[in-house]
Amino acid sequence: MKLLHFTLTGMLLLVGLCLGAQTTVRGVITSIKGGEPLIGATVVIKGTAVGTTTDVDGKFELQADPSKDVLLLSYTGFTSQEIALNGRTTVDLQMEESIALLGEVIVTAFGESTREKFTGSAATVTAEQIARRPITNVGQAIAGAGSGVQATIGSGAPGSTPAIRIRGFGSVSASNAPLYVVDGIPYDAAISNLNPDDIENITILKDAASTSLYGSRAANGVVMITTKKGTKGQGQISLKYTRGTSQRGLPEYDRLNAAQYYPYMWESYRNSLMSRTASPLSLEAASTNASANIVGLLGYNAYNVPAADLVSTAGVLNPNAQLVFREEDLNWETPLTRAGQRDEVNLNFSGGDDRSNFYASFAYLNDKGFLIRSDFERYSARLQFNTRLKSWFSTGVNISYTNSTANQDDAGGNTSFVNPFFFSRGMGPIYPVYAYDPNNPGEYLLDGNGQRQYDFGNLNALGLPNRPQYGGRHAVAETELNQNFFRRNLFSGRTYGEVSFLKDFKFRVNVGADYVNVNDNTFGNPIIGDGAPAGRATVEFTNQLTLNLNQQLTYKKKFGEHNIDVLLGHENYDYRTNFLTGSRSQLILDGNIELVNFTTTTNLNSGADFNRQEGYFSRVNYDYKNKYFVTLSARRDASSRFQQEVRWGTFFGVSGAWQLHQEEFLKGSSLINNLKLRGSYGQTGNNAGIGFYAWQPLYNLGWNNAGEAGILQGSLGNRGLSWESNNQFDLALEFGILKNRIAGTFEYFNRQSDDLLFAVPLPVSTGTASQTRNIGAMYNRGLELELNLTPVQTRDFTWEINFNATRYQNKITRMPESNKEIISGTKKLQVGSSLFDFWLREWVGVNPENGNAEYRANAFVASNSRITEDGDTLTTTLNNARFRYNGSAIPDFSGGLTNTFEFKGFTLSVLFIYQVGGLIYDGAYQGLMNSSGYGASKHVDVLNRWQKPGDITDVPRADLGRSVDHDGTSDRWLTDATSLNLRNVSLTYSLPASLTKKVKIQGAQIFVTGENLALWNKRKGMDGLGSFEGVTANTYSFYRNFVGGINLTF
Amino acid sequence: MMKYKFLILSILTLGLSLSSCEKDYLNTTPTGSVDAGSAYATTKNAKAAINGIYRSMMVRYRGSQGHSGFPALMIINDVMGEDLVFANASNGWHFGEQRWLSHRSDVGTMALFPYEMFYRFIANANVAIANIDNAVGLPAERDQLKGEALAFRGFSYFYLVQYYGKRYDASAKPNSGLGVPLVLEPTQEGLPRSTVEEVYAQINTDLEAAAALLTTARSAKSHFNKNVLRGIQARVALAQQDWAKAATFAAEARQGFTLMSIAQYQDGFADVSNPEWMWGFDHLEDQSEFFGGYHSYISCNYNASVIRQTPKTINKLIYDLIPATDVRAKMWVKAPTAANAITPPGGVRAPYMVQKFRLPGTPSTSVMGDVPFMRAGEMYLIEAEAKAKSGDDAGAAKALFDMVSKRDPSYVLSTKTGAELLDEIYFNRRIELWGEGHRWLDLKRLNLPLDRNGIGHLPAVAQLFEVPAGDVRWEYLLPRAELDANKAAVQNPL
Repeated sequence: MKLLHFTLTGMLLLVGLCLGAQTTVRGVITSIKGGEPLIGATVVIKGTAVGTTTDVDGKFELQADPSKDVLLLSYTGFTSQEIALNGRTTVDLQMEESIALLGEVIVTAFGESTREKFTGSAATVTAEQIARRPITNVGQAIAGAGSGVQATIGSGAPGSTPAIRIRGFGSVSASNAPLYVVDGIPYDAAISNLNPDDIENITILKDAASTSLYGSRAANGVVMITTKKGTKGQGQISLKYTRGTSQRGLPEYDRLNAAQYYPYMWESYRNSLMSRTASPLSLEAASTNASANIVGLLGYNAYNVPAADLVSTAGVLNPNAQLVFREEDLNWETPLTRAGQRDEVNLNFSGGDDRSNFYASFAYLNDKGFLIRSDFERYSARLQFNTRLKSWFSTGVNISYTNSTANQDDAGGNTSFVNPFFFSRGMGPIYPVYAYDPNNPGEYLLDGNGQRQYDFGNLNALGLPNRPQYGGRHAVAETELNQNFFRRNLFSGRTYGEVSFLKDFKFRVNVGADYVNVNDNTFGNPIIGDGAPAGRATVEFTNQLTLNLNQQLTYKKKFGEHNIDVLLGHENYDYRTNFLTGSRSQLILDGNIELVNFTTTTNLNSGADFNRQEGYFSRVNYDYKNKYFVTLSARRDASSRFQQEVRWGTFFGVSGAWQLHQEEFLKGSSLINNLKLRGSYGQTGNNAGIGFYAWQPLYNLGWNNAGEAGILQGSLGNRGLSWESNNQFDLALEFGILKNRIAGTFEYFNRQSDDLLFAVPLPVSTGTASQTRNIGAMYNRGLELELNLTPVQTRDFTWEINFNATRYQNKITRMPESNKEIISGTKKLQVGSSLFDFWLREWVGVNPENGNAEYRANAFVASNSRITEDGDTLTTTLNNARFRYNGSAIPDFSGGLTNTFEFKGFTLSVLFIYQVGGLIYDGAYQGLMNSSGYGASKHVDVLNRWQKPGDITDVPRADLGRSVDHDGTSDRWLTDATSLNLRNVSLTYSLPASLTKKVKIQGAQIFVTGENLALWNKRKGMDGLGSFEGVTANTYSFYRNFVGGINLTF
Repeated sequence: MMKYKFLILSILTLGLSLSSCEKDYLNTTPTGSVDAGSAYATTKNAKAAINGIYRSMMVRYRGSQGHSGFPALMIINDVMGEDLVFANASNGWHFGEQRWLSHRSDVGTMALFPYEMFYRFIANANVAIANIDNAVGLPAERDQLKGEALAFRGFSYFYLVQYYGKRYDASAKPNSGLGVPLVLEPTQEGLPRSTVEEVYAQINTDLEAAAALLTTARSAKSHFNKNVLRGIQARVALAQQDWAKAATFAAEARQGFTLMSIAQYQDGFADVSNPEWMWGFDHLEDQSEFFGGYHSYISCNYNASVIRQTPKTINKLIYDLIPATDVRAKMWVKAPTAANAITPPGGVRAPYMVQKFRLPGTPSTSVMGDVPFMRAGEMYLIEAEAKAKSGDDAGAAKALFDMVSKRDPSYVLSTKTGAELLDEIYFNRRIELWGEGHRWLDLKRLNLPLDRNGIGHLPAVAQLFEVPAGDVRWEYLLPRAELDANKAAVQNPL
């Protein structure tokens, strides 16, 4: 090093002598941020080859003419600068970190690029960003990662994966989910198997050109996940511990309390007596009847006055009534929830030298959800080792093992009694969790051991009333007594061998295997619920193996200013899964849920499935002078899902970029640092989400009739069935101005899906619900904006803003001839509409005279219609209500906003996810607004109901007998889905090096962070970010958590 | 040179899998299914394909446990009449049906469920009818299978036309009101609705063709045989007011079946081996629908919320008419107590609650009861009704006596005539077949109004107390799913 210095200095001296007027110029180069010296930064005198690099203290010296020379400073990851000496011989220079992240790694299909050279469109998530997030599933980190990427808020169940959509929705019946690729191999295992701390980079490839090497699987984008490698240099030990607590993130809808509930139900019942078609009662008779009977109909008297005196004939709650049940016992959510707890330890070792590098990690996570009996425990270990064994041969292995055990919630069924969220939401506010002694008002009914016992709502033998809402069911007891868990192992291995030959050629073989085995257990207890009275259990074992083999031949050559890089490859994909499942009932002894402990087999079944794919691909990258870039790629794929004559498909992509800032006319610009125009066009395919054997007409086994074998028509098949194609064009302008303090990307995309895989509904009278056909076309067109701003960057304080927004339009452009319109749930598909345009009966309002719900009528029917003064025909019968389009679930625009503040050692990062516009069909709210259902809970909005002639309101008369017409499915339930979610706030403090050095620690950080700290939207309780389709359900609501931790690096 | 070998080797390796085994490698087949072409390749396979249709009578439709196949429809036929009374408002299963809301909403479960189920039977039967002649096997086997397929089709159209079409009126031939689309071969096209007359003509053609192919022999009681066919033909004739045929078919149908003894009558209607059962489903442990089963809704003791909370009870007026000496008086309990009425643990007891359908064990842990699709008792009642309608009072009284005397040893031959005799027959029909799926269909075919007043219905539950005869509500609405996908189909009057 010294010698080099000496030589360089000598040479410079020589040059200096030739030119004259030379003196020694000295200086120090430091980073603006933090003031650390920059080691190895290059300093060159402009217009010459004269230059040097900084030493370990950031110092340099060279010979220059201070009167006229200008120094060019450059350093990887920092913005290059020009400094005129202006007569100075000593200069202290500061360099700014490059904000546009031009050096950022983009992981591409079968390769790697940098943001600068990349011709496609991608969003990335770095290890640093992941480290800020207290997440169990790395998929959660994708929300807000970049424009064009939408993620649902996800379930609160520990370890659950949010759904991801890239640039809209390309398919009707096939899958819209992206392909996940982990360390270069398509990944079929659950994302929750990955330890987020092991992830170095997530690159989300959005455009068709950069995904086309994944051909038939790439239509919905590709999420490339890359794990950490060791780096050359000093070995490193990193230890991280976090601990936190979680709670329900989404508040419950506001519902009536007991005092509001009885009078409301009284009124609803009374009105039903008056409105019934057969022998309706008068107001007086109905009121008397309702006062006499309402408590009996509701089963429980929560008050200390006699049932007949609880609600007066005027519909008023007796003012002397006092609750006999403790208020906390009327809240079913409390006993089902708890303060969740999350503990995580990560330990990793890494290091490397010139030839080899390694990374090893061990992690433990225990995430206890806020719902009782729901948790996720994960042990994971990973070892990655890469080495250059010979000058011409490199190899490496990347193996990991994950063991997960999770107790699962029973919230899967939207309206199943065992679902704790459905149950606690729908339970009327007058039913206690614990049984109260009927002979001793206000006291618990104790069992033989003096313990409180749960009120199942049917304990008649103990003298308790019958609960009309969920009688004989008890979500708290069932959640406690049932079992529902899985144990899962993932063995994952990747290896490769790479031979370099003929100077410019490389041949690489990659082999990957992901082996998952899962053991699912469910147990229905014999005391209460679905398993009663005998008890039942199911045990299922599943094995899943994905094998992937690919070979790549590359040729890379530089001809003067021309760079060329050619790839030729083959990939083979083989997925196989098999299962064995058995169910038995009639529990023998308590406390053992193994099948041997039951007497009767109710199900025993096994099966296997296979999905295979074969593909050949090629790519050519070319660039000239680092200014002009062109990439061409193509893939030919075959899939076992299709019949052999049509199973091969060809996919391709072409993309290019022009780095305008490398052109002479911009090179010296002090305003524009980066200007790049890029565009791509490509065709990819999609076959995910249709059956593995979709082309085959099948009869299904398993339709045995008593002791005789039986089979039944399963699917019609379709021999011509083939890929759905996705043709995408995009054009983008990337820019960076004012030293990249303002940087960003504007992008247009047009994603055309054709030959859509469509489950075409057949007439019910044909006996088959649908047939999958390649029919229809659709596009997603939109604009994406990303802005990275750095309003402040000083030695001690930096403020960065990352903002992204996406706006797109989804439109169906062709439908099946046989089905020009397809109605499915709350949506109707037809040409000109989107996948998520609501098609619902048109709600008009409430008739002020009688409180009836009124809809726009299909036709005038004397018995249920009227014509208004304005000539509108309205109907009170839902059946006669007209359907119409009324808005879409797709937002006007959506995205994320991150603000990051760094002050000395502190980093504060705040991430918002937002959605503006779009509608949501709030079915959960509809359920609570329904005036029928004895004992069912009600939303507080029912207090605005119509009560007397002249009332102007949008809530119809409470009427148990009219709920179908009053509260049926219509556009009344569409709600603005505009939402703002404070997704993450994290505060990190890095201890100063001066302090850590003393204790021989390389670095130490302490941090506090939280997820889902707030959600603002139109209605409390409504999960506006829970689905892309714009519907709500009684699901495991998302969590909010607070986590603190420490991270030590040695 | 060595290095060029590398290049050649690499390229060879890349191309390696272009070998001849590629086709086999990518030809994957499922383990849970078989190629449709093989279903009717042999009579052995075809037998399995026909068996599958029987099983499909027993599974959930629309993902709803309350709509598990034909047995659910049997219950709903009674729920929609007046004689099945819900004891309270606690458990809302089938309230939409009792209120006549579900079948009158084009997106309602009841508009779609029967339509979907019967057309599923028909589609599978059509494949059988189209292909069975080419199946390898014995001619007798082919006849048997084709007969069963034709029987399925006739049976299915009979129920479809009763639900979706106007009532058949023998005095108004041809009945030109809209029936249902007559799909007679495998297709993916939607057909227009045929008239009620045309549908009945097809039903009779199919059933007669089936009767010609079938004998009284069969492998299990779940299968159609000649007896069952004659029974269905008797039902059809009754619906068409063809009294002579009805009486003949009913008498022929019950040949070889004996009526239950008093003791057997109290066994719970849950065992297909009962000598009176002509046609029924034999429920095996691994074929249970659990909360979807027939007995999970109609029995007195299956441990389901619906049974515990809201027991089914009988029209109190007709119950009170049952003589104490009649075993059928024990099928319901007027004043239930722990001693005289079985319930699941913690079950509600309500006046007039059912005991007729009962699973073995106390408390019962059974999840399956067999299902009676057709009993000999019904055949006596059909014969009695048909004879009374055609003026043969003596013959009618005799047929009635033959059955009722087995229920009530004190019963004496009825001396009533005309309308009075018919009333006695209908009274017996209502208490004999309660819960077995006849009442709503009887009201419709007899052109009677629905009248639920004064027989125990709660306003809060039933809501609907009267429907005049001939009202549009006696026709189910066609499901929206059919109207959307089949442009030739038109809706019934709203």
